[in-house]
Amino acid sequence: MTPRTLINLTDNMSRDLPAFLPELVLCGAIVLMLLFRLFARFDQKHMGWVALVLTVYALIVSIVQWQGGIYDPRPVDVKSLELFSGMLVYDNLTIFLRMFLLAFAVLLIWLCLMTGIPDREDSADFFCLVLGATLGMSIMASANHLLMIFMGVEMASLPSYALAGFLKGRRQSSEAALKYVVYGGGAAGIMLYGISLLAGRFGTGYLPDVAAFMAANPLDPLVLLGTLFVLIGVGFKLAAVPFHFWCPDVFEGASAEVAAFLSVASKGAALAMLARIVLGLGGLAEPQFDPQVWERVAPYLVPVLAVFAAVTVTFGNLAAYTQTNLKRLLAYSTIAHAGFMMLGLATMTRDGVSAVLVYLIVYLFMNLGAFAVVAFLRNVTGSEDMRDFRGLIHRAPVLVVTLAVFLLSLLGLPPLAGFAAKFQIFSALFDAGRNYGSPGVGQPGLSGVMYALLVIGGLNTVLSLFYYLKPLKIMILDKPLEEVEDRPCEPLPIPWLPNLYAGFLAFVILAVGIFWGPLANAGGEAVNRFHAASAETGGVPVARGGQP
Amino acid sequence: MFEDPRILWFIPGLPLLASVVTAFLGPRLLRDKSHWPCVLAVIASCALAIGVFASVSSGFQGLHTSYTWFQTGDVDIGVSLRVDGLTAVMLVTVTFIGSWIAIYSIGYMHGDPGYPRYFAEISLFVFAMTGLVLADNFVLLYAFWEGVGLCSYLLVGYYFAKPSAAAAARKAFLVTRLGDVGLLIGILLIYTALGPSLDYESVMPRGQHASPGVLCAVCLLLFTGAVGKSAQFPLHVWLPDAMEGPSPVSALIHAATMVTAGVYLVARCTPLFGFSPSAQLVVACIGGFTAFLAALIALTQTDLKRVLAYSTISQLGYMFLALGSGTSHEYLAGIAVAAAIFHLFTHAFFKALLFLAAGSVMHAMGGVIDMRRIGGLRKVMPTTHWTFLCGAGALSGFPIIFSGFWSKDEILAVAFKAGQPGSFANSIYILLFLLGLVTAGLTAFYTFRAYFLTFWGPERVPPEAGHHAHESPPVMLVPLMVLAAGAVFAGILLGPTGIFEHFLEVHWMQAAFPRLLPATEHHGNLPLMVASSLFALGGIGLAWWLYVRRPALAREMAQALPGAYELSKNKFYLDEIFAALVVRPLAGLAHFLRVFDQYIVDSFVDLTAHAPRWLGHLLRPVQNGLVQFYALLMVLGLAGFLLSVLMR
Amino acid sequence: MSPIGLEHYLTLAAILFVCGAVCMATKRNAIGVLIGVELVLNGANINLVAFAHFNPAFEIEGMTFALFVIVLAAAEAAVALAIVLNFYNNHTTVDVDTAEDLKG
Repeated sequence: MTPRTLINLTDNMSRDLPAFLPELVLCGAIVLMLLFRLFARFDQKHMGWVALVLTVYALIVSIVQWQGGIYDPRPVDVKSLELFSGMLVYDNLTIFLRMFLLAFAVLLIWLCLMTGIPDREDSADFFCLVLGATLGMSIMASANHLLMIFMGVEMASLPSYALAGFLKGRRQSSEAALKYVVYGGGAAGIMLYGISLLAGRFGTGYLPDVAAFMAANPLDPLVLLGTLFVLIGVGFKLAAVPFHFWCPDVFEGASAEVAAFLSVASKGAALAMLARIVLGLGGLAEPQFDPQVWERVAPYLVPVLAVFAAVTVTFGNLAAYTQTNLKRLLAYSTIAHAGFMMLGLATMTRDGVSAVLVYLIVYLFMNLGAFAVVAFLRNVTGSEDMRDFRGLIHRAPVLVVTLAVFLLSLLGLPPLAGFAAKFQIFSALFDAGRNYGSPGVGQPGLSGVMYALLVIGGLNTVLSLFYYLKPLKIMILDKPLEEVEDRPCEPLPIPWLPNLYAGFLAFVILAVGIFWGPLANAGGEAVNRFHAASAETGGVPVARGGQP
Repeated sequence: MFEDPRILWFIPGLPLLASVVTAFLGPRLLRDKSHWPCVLAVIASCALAIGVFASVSSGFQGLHTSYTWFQTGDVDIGVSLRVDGLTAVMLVTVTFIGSWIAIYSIGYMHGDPGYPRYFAEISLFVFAMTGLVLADNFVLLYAFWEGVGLCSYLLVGYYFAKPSAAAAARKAFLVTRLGDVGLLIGILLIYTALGPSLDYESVMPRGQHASPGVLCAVCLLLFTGAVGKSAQFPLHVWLPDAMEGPSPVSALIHAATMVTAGVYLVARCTPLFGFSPSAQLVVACIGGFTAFLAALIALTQTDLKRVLAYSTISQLGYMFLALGSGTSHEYLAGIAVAAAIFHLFTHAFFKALLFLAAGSVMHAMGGVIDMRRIGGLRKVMPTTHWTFLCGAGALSGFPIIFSGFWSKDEILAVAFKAGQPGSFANSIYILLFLLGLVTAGLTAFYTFRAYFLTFWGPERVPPEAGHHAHESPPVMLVPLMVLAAGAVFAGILLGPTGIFEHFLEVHWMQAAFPRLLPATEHHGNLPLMVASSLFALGGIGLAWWLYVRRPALAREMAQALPGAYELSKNKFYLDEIFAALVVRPLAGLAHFLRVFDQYIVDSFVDLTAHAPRWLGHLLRPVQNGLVQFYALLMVLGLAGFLLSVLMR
Repeated sequence: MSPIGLEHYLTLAAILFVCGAVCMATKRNAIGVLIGVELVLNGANINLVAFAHFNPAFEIEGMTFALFVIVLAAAEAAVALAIVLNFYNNHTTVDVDTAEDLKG
């Protein structure tokens, strides 16, 4: 960053601000909600609607940008644009992830409006925190500079800490927040230390330069240490084993809505950041792919990612076995899913990243759906323990059926969307394994790693079968507690709107499971920003990413 | 008429939608209005099918649509539908008959506790069958084939609380599964021998270049599937029991949906069968023999629906006889297949009619259908009586007027032609032709035996009927009348004019197997018509003589020929033979395997199920709630990674 | 005495980092843990400033980096203290070892 770049910053402002518009809208929403509280007239109004309307607007702006509409400042032949003198990057991946985050925020706000968390008084605080964290996650997803990585992580984390403790007066909630902030603060500190080492060592925090330096120089201990420390920060946000410890405790202590937020948005942003780092380090983000860079980096990075992913997915699935609290069970399931998505990143191919993006979208709907059902059930029964949900099918049929759709989709059963997502990951792993083994690439070791990951992924899918079916078995096959105790078994008073919400999410899962061509194409296009030629065809790139 | 092929999705799609809607909303919301989704959807499907038929007959070729679910590497997994002449005919038959059966069911099933379930399953059945005929490749065909099997299982076992119904459903499912195994192997063989593809378009033309042995094997394996589904000897045993379901279900299974699937499959694969004369000979022999055997058994059955069930088996045998007679040597394939499909078409009308009429009788008689306990109903149920008469006339092949005459006559003509001197295995075909002729006489006899026993003679009404032994409501009678009109006029309109053959030839055969078509036009064979008429009239006359004029004589004859009578009455002991040859050894094997499974396999399964749980318990103490312990583990984990990377 | 160079600063930062990490891992008082976090952050900050001083190309960038970190550290401390206060309200203690309701 030189004075020259500072001048560029002001010169390009008129180009960069429209590209940044969705984030600016979020900022506006936050300011507006805080401002409204100053007026007595609005003091007692629920602020969810303000948040909802403005988030929808931001989402629309993002969609317009995706389609290359008026808010898209990119010239026709330029796929990737650097904003604010290289701090952020604006490309299809950024827009895709923004759409993901904003769509999730919209659905979450809608959910919160139905479940009544927060109440009217706290609504402005709550939605400020949600939108602020979303803003931070969006910055994480588009970071192009080590400073932005740190800023994004912190901006996403700080509101999350507060959200975890939002249920005031509840012991568990305050405990969750304390654990989260202590663990998160420590992880952020270590990450920053790593960043300071890397940025200082290379004399810049600009990610493409860092990647180029890394590829050009032999690994020295300082860089290695720095990279690993940064990885801690990412691993913490991702809840990858062994940095996952906060996750089950926080999810159990926080409300289901906040848990949904942390499990989907926070992990999505962290994965996006990791994907960017992987693509950047592997030279896959360059317009001209240089196989030599890839060949130098991959033998180090792929095994590390592979081990992380394999351990995370296996640990998550095993630990979920003994859980009885639905939220805690889902917490371990989200750990496993993060591991699953890391399997896709471990391929270090564009196909793998594209598969992860597809997985993210699907994961949004199924995980949000599962947590939403938990929230609805908590509101009417006051419990989140599945032992209290025996025979629930007789009392809340719609919610149980939709929960079955969500859990079976998480399990990856066709024709639900979860199957499509897992299939993409497996397909990416298989292709990568085949390509790495081919004489043209000549990395039989990496090929073996890919096949091993394929087997681990398959085994884990089987493993997860048992614990996803357990709640369903309890809810559908077991007799209701009332029937056992000879009390009248009456339907739960669930309004139609929550049923509609759950039904809508389940419908999306089914529809995406059947028609997943468009989603897969969009995922391919989000990663495929660098090839003008294949971008024109609009499809998934024919040449497998990462291949010479 | 329809230019947009996407319309095809709606033909199976609407019944599927109706099925889902009824299944979800039926028990709570629709209740006794549950028939609406089903009836509307099937009728709409029928309208679309007729539209599709019209656009096929106007020569429109592009009725093909496909959806790729996903594509990975070279494998393209998806769904594709296509309509040609054959499919159009099948679609119209299935949906038209299905519509009237659905309407009839409104009255027949009225007040049944499982009303919504019934209509959900009927819609699903129509969905599976329309999908089966629309499928454009063997994989999809097989999927719907199994779907049809599943639906028949559900519907035959509709009264699942009744042990006999549950057993019949199981039997139907398992016996047809035997055939399905052959079909599956056949499909796999097609993939390896004629593939690597399973699209009709790419597989069919390869038939003529394949080695005769392989082609014969493929054809016979496919035929095994057809034997199971279309109830041919020796897998016919499930069909008579399948009447344990409600009568409209029998009508649906026997006329429109289930059993025609096998005939359709063989007809569809004519480009393969046509080049394998030996396979065709097997088809013809099985068909002819089944027709004869089933007719013999039908002679002595006392249950009206059972007589009809055996008549179905017999008529399906005729269709296979025709399909097997199209030897490539004589360029008969076109006429042969057209005859089979024509018979399928007319049979669908009159058999649906007969079953619905029998259902109407059963409805009025309080569930009794034993012909020894009912009789003389022509006064009590006049409309049912004359519609049944129309069906019986068609089934027995009463000359000129009734449709069965025309279609059966064409089959006999084909068999006769195949038996001309000089052609392949002509002596066998002549034998089969004679067998067919005799069967025609038997058919007429047993049909009218059932008719006379039920509707003539002194009026006998069983006590189960109570005081309301009356004609059925209009919602049941109108379908009977419509189908009766079809049973009468379909033959005289389409038979002598040759419209049907012409349609199939122009819109299907010329594209599918041009090499197998005859060089000259086919003309009716007058002496043959006279002969078959004589047999039919003879059979009817004999029935009249024995059961109206001299009722005592029939009993005397049965006593005079005890062995033959018992043999026929007990269905040639085929069920017992099956039990001894197949079921018992299998049961023994199953018992052994169960023990093996219980003690050896199960313990492995238990182990795999318990290991993760045990591991999960092992992991629990790590998550001890102390945040600083977490931090320590995090640092340790990091150190592990650092070491592993540095050690490389 | 040799002139003070980059490695001296880096060593100081490393010592601060280790002290902070140890503090985070051993202090039972939540405030103590937070002080440990601050130490780690400031260790990183010393790194950044030192690198900025000795590398002209990194000068402005490093300084800006450090400024941002100071601000973020303040924000984090504010949130963390609020959460600790909330914890105290519910548990009447700030001993992190008492936070063990959630486990398993």
